[in-house]
Amino acid sequence: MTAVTVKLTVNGREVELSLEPHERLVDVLRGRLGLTGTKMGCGEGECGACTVIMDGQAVLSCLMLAVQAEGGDILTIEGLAPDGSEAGLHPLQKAFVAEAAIQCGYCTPGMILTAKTLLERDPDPTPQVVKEAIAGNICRCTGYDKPVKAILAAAAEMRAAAQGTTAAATVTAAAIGAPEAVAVPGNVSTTTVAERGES
Amino acid sequence: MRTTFRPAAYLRPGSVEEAVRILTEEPERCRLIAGGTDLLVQKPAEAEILVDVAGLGLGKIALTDGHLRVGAAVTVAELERAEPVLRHPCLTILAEAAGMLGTPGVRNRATIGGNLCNGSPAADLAVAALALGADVEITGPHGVRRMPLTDFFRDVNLTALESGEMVSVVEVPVEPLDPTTAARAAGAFFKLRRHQSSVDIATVNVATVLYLDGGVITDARVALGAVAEVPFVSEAAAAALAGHEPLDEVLRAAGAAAAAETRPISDIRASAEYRREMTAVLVRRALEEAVRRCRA
Ligand SMILES: Cc1cc2nc3c(=O)[nH]c(=O)nc-3n(C[C@H](O)[C@H](O)[C@H](O)COP(=O)(O)OP(=O)(O)OC[C@H]3O[C@@H](n4cnc5c(N)ncnc54)[C@H](O)[C@@H]3O)c2cc1C
Ligand code: FES
Ligand code: FES
Repeated sequence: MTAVTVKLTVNGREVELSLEPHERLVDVLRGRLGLTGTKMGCGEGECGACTVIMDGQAVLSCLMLAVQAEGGDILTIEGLAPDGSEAGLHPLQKAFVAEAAIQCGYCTPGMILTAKTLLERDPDPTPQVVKEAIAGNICRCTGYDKPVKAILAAAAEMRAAAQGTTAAATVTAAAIGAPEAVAVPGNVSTTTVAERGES
Repeated sequence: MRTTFRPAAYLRPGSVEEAVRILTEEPERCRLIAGGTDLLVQKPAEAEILVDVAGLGLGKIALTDGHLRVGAAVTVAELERAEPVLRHPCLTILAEAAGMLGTPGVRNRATIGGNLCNGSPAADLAVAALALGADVEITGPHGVRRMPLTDFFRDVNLTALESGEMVSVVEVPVEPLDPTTAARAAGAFFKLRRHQSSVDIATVNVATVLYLDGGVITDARVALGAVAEVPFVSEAAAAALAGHEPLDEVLRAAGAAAAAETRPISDIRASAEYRREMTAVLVRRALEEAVRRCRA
């Protein structure tokens, strides 16, 4: 077994790990880094519970070897509200609470991270676009109605914040508490994505 | 005899040549990994050395004169949104197929090379690329060879790739579009799933590209998936179309001709009979849509 040294950024922190080739990203996040907010459901790409954001894109951490994340910039649900305070929650997290879009909560981290990438691409999605975006995030509890409402509410909230005064925008940026180095699309410095080139 | 998926090594070569050298040295033990969305579900025990496709510079989509070149490592999500693909009425079926493949999370990692090389009879991009008359560029120990995609699929999960070879580029011929003439071309991709709104591989998938000139079909290609051991192009459907006006009975006849060429199986998704019936329906609908787009 040849251990592989892997460097990645997780929630704004650089980490270096010595990993075996077969270790899945989900297991490394949960088992080695203690980030158990990322959930393991099916393990076969079907349920979306293990969704994390890598280089600005929602990916399934059960269908990725951790060694493949070399150079990647990863955001897990923990990185979305790093200080853990209620005030520091991301608008999506606040909306999920406000709309009671959570029952058991197992799908929630994946659902929220998927929604985050959607809203970065499309700040004003239709309900249909939201439904398609979370088609890979299976929820056995809520019936999807409330998560869709929550995502639309967060989108409205984020648009309003973006349109506010500069002062208000600054407050919001601080309030979402995102660590500075977290995935900014178009500002990606990893070999994987850089070498993939522009499409 | 190994029984579990536990690769002993993971390599990330920096060029196609280097990857081919590695594959050629240990063809039995090496396995390419791209998005891993097939491989990490199948977990093949014999994959001892994983060779990553990510660093090989195969992530570009380029529209040069007469050809769309799609690197094997281009992701399904990239194809779904690629401007040169979306802008062209035939190429757009690649984006349509991409948008119906798996879930957004799968599409962000899954690649076109993986979709073709996995060799699934239902592979969505394979069906779209076949209808577009694509070639694959294969790089191996003896250099680069090119092959029509129609020759690439050999059996369920079996392709024409030989020891040490990999797919580097998928190349699609692009007919120039001249709006000043009466000639028109357009395509359509249809995918039947067990529940049409759900995420599922195809029960039947169909892609077509149609050429119309002066109200007559001058040429057509109809590709079918999930109805034989490999995705394939229906010659009989094309023959039923060429030289005819796109009348209802002509499109129906093409659907029937395509259905007659299928060799479907019964499985959890559908019976063979249903697949054959639905081939006729889907082919007709795809042709109707392509005609509509030609005239739009
Ligand atoms: C939940 C889920 C849903 C899915 N839904 C669909 C669907 O609707 N339609 C569909 O068609 N597929 C579907 N798939 C299958 C899969 O996502 C696609 O086939 C995908 O395109 C595979 O690409 P990959 O890069 O992940 O391949 P990998 O898993 O990395 O590789 C697949 C195979 O191809 C080989 N390979 C990869 N790249 C090359 C290359 N350049 N040259 C030679 N060999 C190569 C690998 O060695 C491996 O054998 C689904 C998968 C999942 C998990
Ligand atoms: S655990 Fe990864 S998709 Fe279900
Ligand atoms: S809240 Fe329980 S799975 Fe979604």
